Amino acid sequence: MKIGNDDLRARTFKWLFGRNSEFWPTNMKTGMWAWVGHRLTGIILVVYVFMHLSFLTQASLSHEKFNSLMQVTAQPAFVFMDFMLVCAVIYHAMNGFRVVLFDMGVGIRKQKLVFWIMMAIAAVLVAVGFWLLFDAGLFNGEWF
Amino acid sequence: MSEHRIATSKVAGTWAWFFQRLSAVLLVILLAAHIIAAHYWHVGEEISVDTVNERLKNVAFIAIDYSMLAMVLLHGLNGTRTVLFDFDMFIKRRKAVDKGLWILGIATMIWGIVILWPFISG
Amino acid sequence: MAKDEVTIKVQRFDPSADKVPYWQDFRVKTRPGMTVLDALFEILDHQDGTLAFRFCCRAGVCGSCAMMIAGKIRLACETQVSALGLDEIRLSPLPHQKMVKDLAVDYTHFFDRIKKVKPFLVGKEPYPDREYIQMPKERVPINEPIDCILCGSCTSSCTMAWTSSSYLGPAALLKSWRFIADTRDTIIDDRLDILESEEEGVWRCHTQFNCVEVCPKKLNPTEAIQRQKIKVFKRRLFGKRRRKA
Repeated sequence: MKIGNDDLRARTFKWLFGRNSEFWPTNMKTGMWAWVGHRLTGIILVVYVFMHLSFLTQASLSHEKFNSLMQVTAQPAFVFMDFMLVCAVIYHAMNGFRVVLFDMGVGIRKQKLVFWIMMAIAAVLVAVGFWLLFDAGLFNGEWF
Repeated sequence: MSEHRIATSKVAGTWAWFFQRLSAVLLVILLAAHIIAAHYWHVGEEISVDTVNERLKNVAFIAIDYSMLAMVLLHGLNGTRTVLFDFDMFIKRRKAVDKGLWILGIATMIWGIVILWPFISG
Repeated sequence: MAKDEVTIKVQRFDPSADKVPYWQDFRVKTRPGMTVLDALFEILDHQDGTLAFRFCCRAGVCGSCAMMIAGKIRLACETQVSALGLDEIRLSPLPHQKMVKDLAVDYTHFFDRIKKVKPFLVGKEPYPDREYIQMPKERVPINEPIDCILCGSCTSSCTMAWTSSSYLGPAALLKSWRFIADTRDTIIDDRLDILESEEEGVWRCHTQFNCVEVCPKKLNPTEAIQRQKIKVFKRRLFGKRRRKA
């Protein structure tokens, strides 16, 4: 029933992730890439939620702390990280929409097409997010 | 055949799957509301403790933030559960993982409520 | 244009002698229409008699010779060397399965998973004298899943089936769908009970579509799993509804 321990030891990293493995980037297909991206962005976003909460905790400590943290948020590097966050959210949402479609039995046979349609929508949303982020607000020191 | 089968949960998986989808849809709506409320409701306004306090007098603002946090925790921790359950070592301890994630979720929810409290009361 | 010779890189592993697998190169003279399985026979007959691999029908029916060929799981008997268009072809056994020797893997775990979904028809009693009658229209949903040759490609390609030994995997779930979609079957509730289990059942599928990519018969286990998810959820929502006798 279980995979033997001796066998596990025999599986070297090279064997699992080498040229002939399904994890080698060129061997991974659309659906697998979509899942890897979904999982990675999902984990990043869970970590972000806790970072966000701890940030707000520090901001609520005192007026000085609040003001200094607000200056941090206006730094270009911070805003760039915000943009990466927006990209992660949009990817996770659009691929999640694709998964929900599959759960409703829609487009399973055309999963690659559905993926690229979703990515096209995601690209438009990222562009909108870029415009909103850099044109309409955060550089002015908006509250984060 | 029956001796192969292990004690398994029948109900949790189905509802976990369904609420993951449900919370995902709600989350998209709430996220839009949260971003608009936090960043675009008062564009151009100076950000300071006082203005934030002023904003948090608005019940809609608090409702959006708190329900957002609840949904994020439901979706995020349910997702974490899915990630963990892909591995033998965690799915064998299903009840312990569930308990741990519930405690983490409730504690974080309380933490989130407490964070905004100085702004709301102040 | 056609290449005369090709290098076959085989992942060798002898559990009694080796700690880790290693690659061994063989030069094989190609001929038109040569399959990867033919190349393996060439090596076995003329170069190294100790090479171990699985085969039976040589015609893509038995599902014995599934292996990792140039980064994708394929049937060795159905893959032509020239069609790959490579100077160097890497061969390794089905991933994530217990290796027996070289390219042969242990299918015990794979068939244990199949057995769990009750892969047999339980018809309505009293049993008819000849056969259960089925209209051609009713046969349509099972036309596809019935073609499964149990080669193990899909379950080997599925990372969820790899990291968790309890998950049934695409092959077993496709088999389950074959009987759930069959109008002659009467134990749909028992089948859905097995599928609803969190450790083994359909909820572990994350729609990677690896199984669809590798299936040598071009079947769609993911679609079967998704349809069963819907069935399981509907039963949870609306309660048991037995199929009309």
